[in-house]
Amino acid sequence: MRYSFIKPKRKPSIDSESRILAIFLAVTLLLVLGFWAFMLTKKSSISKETLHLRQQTRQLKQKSQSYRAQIERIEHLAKKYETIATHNTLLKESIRNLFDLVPDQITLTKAVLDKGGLVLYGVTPSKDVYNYLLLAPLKSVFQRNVTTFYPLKNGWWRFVSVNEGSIESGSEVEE
Amino acid sequence: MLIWVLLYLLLVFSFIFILVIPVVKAYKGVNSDYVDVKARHMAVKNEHDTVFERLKSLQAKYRKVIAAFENRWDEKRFMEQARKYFLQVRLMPVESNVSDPNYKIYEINALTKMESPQNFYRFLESFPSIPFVLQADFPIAFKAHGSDEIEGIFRIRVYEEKKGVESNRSRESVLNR
Repeated sequence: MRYSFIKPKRKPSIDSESRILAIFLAVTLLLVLGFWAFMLTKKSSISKETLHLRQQTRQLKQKSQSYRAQIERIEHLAKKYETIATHNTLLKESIRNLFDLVPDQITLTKAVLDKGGLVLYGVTPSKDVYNYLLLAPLKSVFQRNVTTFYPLKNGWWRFVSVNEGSIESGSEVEE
Repeated sequence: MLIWVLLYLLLVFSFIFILVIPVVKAYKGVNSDYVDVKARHMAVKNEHDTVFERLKSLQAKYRKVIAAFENRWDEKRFMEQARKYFLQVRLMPVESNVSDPNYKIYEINALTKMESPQNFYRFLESFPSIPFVLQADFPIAFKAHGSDEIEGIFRIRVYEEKKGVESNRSRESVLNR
């Protein structure tokens, strides 16, 4: 026997409002969990990046140190080269100046230059020519001058002039 | 229904306090550390770049000087150059009494014949073009040999860098960068 004209509907276990609320609650819960997962990933990636940067910094420091050592080496070499070049120039100029001291009247047969001085062997037409034209400038350069003359058959004099004192040439190449 | 909402709130707050807040705090700490490390890294990188630039410029400026110190002494190459200035050249090695911790030093007596002392001066001036580090030194002797020749004897010191060969590789790697 029927008591109603409509067909009965099964009552839903959750009504529509409750379903919306449940969905909202589930979404917010998921958002919270999603944010947590995101922060966790971000933290882990930054930690890795920090570690990587630390390694790179360490490598850069090591490289800088090696470059500095190379710079020091090059500067040292450049300084040494400069000192040697200056020594060579001074030596050349000293020898040139010494030979420029010799007047045309006097002929040199041998010249020996050492750190301690200069020994000249040569021929002069007279002792006076030697004394005025060569000995005088030699005296201004060297501290001690000793000259020995040997007469020649043609009236000229063979001389050996020993001059003691340092010849300016930058002496030793020192650091 | 109310029970479910309360349960939900409890769950959410638990997640926030147990999971989210600690991870955010940890993130802040890690991020602040990252900022410090990044700043230090940039400072070190700038310094590195400056040092590297200086090294490159020095290497370019003193390329010949470095090569001259690194070149191993080669008598033949030296003689080729010396013959341009002298009529005759002979070399006699001398036992060196000069020592330097950084350099290997050879001492050689050069026995030469030349037309005038000008040849000797020009030879000394040509040292920068010779691929070795040479230093002319005393004793130096000139002796008239006949009417138009001078016999010249002088000491030459050759400087070789002791560490040159070992450090070549690192320098090449820098230059190739």
